[in-house]
Amino acid sequence: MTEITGWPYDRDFRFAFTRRKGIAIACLVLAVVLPPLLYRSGVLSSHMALIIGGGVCYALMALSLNVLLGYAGQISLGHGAFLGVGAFASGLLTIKLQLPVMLGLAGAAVCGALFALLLGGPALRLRGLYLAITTIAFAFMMEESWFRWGPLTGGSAGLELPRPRAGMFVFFEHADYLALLLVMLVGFWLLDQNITKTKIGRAFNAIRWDERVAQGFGVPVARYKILAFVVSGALAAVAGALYGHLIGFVNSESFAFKSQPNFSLLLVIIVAIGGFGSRGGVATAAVFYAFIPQILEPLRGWELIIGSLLLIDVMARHPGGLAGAARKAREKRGEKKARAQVEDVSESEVPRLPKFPRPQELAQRPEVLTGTDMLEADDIAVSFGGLKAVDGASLKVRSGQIVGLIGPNGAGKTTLFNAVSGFVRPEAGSIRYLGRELLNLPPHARAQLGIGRTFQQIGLTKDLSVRENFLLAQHVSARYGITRALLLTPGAADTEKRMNRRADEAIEALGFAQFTDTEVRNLSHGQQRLVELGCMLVTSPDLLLLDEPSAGMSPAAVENLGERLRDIRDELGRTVLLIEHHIPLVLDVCDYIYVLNFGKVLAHGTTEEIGRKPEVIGAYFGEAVA
Amino acid sequence: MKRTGGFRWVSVVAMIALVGTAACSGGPLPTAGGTASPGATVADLPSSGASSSPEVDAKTGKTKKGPKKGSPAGTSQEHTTGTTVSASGETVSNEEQAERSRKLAKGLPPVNLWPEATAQMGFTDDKIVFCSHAALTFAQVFDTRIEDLNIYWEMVNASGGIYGRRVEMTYEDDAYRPDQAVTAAEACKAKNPFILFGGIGFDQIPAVRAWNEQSQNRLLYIHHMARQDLEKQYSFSFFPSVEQAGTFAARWLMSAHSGDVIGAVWRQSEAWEPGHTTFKSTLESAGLELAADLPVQKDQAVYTQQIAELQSQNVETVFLWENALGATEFIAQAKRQDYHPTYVVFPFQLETDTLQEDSLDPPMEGVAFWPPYAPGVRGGPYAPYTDEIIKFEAAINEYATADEGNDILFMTWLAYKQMHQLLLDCGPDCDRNRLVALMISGRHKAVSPNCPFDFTANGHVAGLTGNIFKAIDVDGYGAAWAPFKTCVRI
Amino acid sequence: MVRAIVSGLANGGIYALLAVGIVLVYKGSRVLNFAQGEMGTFGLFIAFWLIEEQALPWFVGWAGAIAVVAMIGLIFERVVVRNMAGASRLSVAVATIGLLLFLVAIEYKLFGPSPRILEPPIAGLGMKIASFYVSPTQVLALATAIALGAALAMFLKRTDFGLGLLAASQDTTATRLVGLKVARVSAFTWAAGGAVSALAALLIEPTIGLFAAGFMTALFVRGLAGALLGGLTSLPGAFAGGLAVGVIEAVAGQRFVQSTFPGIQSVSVMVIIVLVLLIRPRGLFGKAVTA
Repeated sequence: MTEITGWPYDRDFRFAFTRRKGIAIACLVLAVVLPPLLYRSGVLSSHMALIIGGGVCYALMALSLNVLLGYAGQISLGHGAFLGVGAFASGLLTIKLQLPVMLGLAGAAVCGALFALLLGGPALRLRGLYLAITTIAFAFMMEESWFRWGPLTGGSAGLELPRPRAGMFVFFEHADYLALLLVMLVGFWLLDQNITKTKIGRAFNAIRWDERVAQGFGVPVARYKILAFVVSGALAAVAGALYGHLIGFVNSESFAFKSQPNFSLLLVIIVAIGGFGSRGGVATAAVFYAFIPQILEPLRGWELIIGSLLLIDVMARHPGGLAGAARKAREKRGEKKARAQVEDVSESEVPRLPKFPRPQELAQRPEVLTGTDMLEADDIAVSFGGLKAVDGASLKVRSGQIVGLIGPNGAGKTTLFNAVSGFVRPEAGSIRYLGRELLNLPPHARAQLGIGRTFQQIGLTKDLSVRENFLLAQHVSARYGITRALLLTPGAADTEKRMNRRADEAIEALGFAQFTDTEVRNLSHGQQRLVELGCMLVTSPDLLLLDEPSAGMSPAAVENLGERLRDIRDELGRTVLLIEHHIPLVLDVCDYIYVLNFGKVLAHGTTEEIGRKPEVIGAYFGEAVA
Repeated sequence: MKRTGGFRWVSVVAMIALVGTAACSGGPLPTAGGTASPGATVADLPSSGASSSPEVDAKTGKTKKGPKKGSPAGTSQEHTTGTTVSASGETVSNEEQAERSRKLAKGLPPVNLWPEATAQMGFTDDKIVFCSHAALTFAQVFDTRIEDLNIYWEMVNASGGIYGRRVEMTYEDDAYRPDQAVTAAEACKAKNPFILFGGIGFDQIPAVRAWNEQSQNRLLYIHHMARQDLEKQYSFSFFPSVEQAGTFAARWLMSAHSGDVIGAVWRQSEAWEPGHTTFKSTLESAGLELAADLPVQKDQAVYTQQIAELQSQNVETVFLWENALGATEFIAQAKRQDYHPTYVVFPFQLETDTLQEDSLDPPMEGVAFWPPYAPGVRGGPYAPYTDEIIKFEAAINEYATADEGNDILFMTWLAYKQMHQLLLDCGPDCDRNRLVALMISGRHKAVSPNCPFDFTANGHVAGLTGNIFKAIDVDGYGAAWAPFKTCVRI
Repeated sequence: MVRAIVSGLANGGIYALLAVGIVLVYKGSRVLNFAQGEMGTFGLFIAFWLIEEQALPWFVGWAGAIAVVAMIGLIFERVVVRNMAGASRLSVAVATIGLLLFLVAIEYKLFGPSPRILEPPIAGLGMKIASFYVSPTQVLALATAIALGAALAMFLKRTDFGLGLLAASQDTTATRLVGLKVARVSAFTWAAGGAVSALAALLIEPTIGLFAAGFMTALFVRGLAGALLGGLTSLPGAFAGGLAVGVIEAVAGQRFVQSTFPGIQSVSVMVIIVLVLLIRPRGLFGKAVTA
């Protein structure tokens, strides 16, 4: 497909970037000018400036946790330790080495990142609950040991953190320091926006939703998890240091788990109340949490009671915190239409699948010649706790064909898929793709080689919009570095622009234009299937592993699906390995069929050969053969 | 009867303000050293700081936070006519008080911490504004209410105030946290107080002190006990330092338990450690060795190994340098191991109330800088200051929300009493420079039942004497701390 | 050394009791209840109120405490856990953090920060083993942990309800097939978990000497270490794990009793946690589980 001319998106996109810059600059100017001005004109008292400053620090801390918990879905119940690391690092650098505060903050960021690396290591091996426990253990070790080690930190006598200075000017006045804090808030905000606007944020989201989905799209999950820890740890350390310089003091108990309130858990409350992953909601919740008890005396001492109840409520009912409330209000105001459309859409047939040229970023991938053995799996054996799921199965997939994989439930079809795409490691056997041994490659690397994969449960990040999923799908073609992404350099922005255009084209071609910004989970199952197919095709994989694509589709759509699968083979020139329960569809589209049972290949042959052995099919599917 | 539930206490250093020293029977107030001619007017007096050029506060001039009133307070008639109830309880004419203050003011050392414009901030025609940071919520184990803390000033105001000025004392919640304490102090500052009071905790004081020393328009900060090396220009403590407490404890052990095997259990925390260091070095300089020297952690809760170590070293007297909660847990756990040494602790009502008979076997000893108090208990060893106890309990009944007093409130009461006398001594035209001059000159003396104290030795830390408590069994009350030796020199 | 081990076992008994409670709830609902310790603190306040302020006999106070905390467990299950059937188990765990913070905050509000002391029903020094007195309540804690662990294990393996409970923790549909109401199983788990929590707190308090709001938070971490060491799903494992944590902590504490590097004792516990999770997440006795 050639470049579409007159596509209006380009201009919009550039405009969006400039507008963003404009807003950022306006915010910076306001941040710098407003507090000192209000203070010196007597509107803002020094006390109020301190309270607001505290609120801004809470917001910075909460934003740092939001990157980890809200975006990447990795829980930290010991974030207070990072705050402490930052405050002590900055304190030691500015007091003992007499460095300027800005260098102290940089040092805090480095220390926070290093400690996050330390903690991120275990995070690779641990998920969910175990990770949560590890972070608590980490926090306890820091606060009961290192933070109390007097020769280093001053222990409970603590460190007296100085205020920054610029030349002769010292940020003594809280209002002046507040201006600095607000500048930092804008900085955090922009960085955070860059994360969400680039592949980093999408990768985080995919990891949060389902690590397999992320890997299926070629996201190196381990690296991104560590990245989430490092970014969050560095930001938390800077926030802790800024808070330390605001108060002018930090000691071993400042961020301790047993202090009341306990920062580590307080931040979890704030992120939950603000709405996981919602920048605005989290920052707002933080400022209010710090601010309201200070100005509303009757609420003092109640903040934790109310906060903990809100946390329970958020967890139990998923109202989505402040962000969720705001969204509901918006929907009430007039975005009901979009939802109505979702319900109205007919699911009678599968639209033509978009035809994509290979993205230029992936041009180095070798062309696959038709008729060669693309995938060769030999004697694959996978067992789960004594149960042999796949027991010496072998199969070959010839390029340019649709190969079916059938068998009853529990025959080991999906496990074999998982072995091919790298989600399970076989005990024995070998898997070669275009002659290259895959066994030691992680799933994301296999995806990068050009093996696409769909899932029974839909391999999409369902709480992202259709467009964001299409962008996520292009992860492997987003060839810019992490630093460039965090700073959103022009090069990275350009790549993003191209990816956006591609996503929009794909969505348009798929006929989903009206759902571009709809969250995937609001689509019907059949629609989700299509989006998943589209997402996979957008990166032009050479081999597609499709796991029950007909599941959840209406009968009319299933009929139509066969045609589309043939399109994939004939028009797009792709190769397909298909798991399918719908035998007529299999017999209709497949060139070659493998029958699997008890983890072994029971029979294989061309569709005609298998079709001529009704006993093979009948044994397992009986009535299905009509 | 268990009394552990109803009262409030404080972890060691905790208490609201400041002044109290110990329960010595308090002789007549010493008169001032200087002699001023009886007819001298205020204007004639060498008022130390008010007129001098600012040294440390060059920046202060540009802010708008000066005193709200135009003329210095105190020269008008109303402040020297009428009577007032002095700190020691007599009704004295304001003229007489003012006269005394004039004598004290003569020849005071020059103090120029505040320029003239701000020296009398918070000291207006009709009131004196104080503010204190205090743990009103989420104290680890400290629970005070403003109404209860303030009974002394209620009483002073009811009897005419100080030179006709009402005392307006407000509190800001520090939630027992350093960061919140700084916010509380900033809220106090917004009220332009004459003095910022503080205390309640080793952690909060350094934070507020650092804040005050760094910020502009520094306040006069009078706080509770702290480390000696923390002394700073604008911060004063009427208590001995942590270091002096350690020395004092060591001297007491050397005089009363010299033959014993001595061990130390100390909170490993920079706020506590200096006391342990001086304790150890004082013993060592007398040629005494510690048989066991064991650090413990904040909130350690389980002290099994420390107790075992003391037992295995046959330690007979333990210097237990921990807060009241930790000390109580430690002693309770030691009793369960059938270990009964003599403890020398930082004495609080919580310990005896909680431990009951366990605190009497053998009687615990305490080193403190205030007189012991137990609700409703008077006479006996308390006789020297029973009058004060009666007055305090009457005020509790009249003004407080609490059902009964406790040692913390009594300590606070005595601290404010000392402050009251200081303000009377400072005179009807008091300013902060003169107040500081009066304190550090050593002329202002303690008022009964506080022990004599003196800033001359340590500049910003007062107090040269301490008290020894001993746990006794009081009929109808149970175990309680009682004064054993009062106003012993540190 | 022997003495340290004996004292470690005595303290380990109370960690074991906590660990058993943690494992019970985890087995029954696959939820790690971070409030497992602090629910017990609330029970202590109830017991204190009944015994010291209402002057009721100790067993009434204990029964009251156990009943109230079991009720808290029930209510939390009914209002929160049941509504989160489809949510990730980690989300439920985070909700229990809400419960933990709520309990601490409400304890401060209702009872104030003052520490209290609850006299143990059985006083006296207890048994002297290797010159260490094991107090009656410590013996009782140990015995209760064994008895509870064994009784619960029996109950889970031998009764239909117990089997159903185990099934429920793995698969809700399976339980429906067994014919048990999932809701009832879950409710039972949480009520029993609450009761064990209260019992643990009542038995632990005399060893520490007094209690205050937030009393059980630090002890919970030790109980959790024990539960993890034993493998989160194994009741005997939790018991052994609790004892092991007590002994390791005591030996580390004794070895470094003079050390001025802070916190070696608690760091030793944290190191256990991290090592277990990294090297053998299923613990010593647990079955492989996906968290």
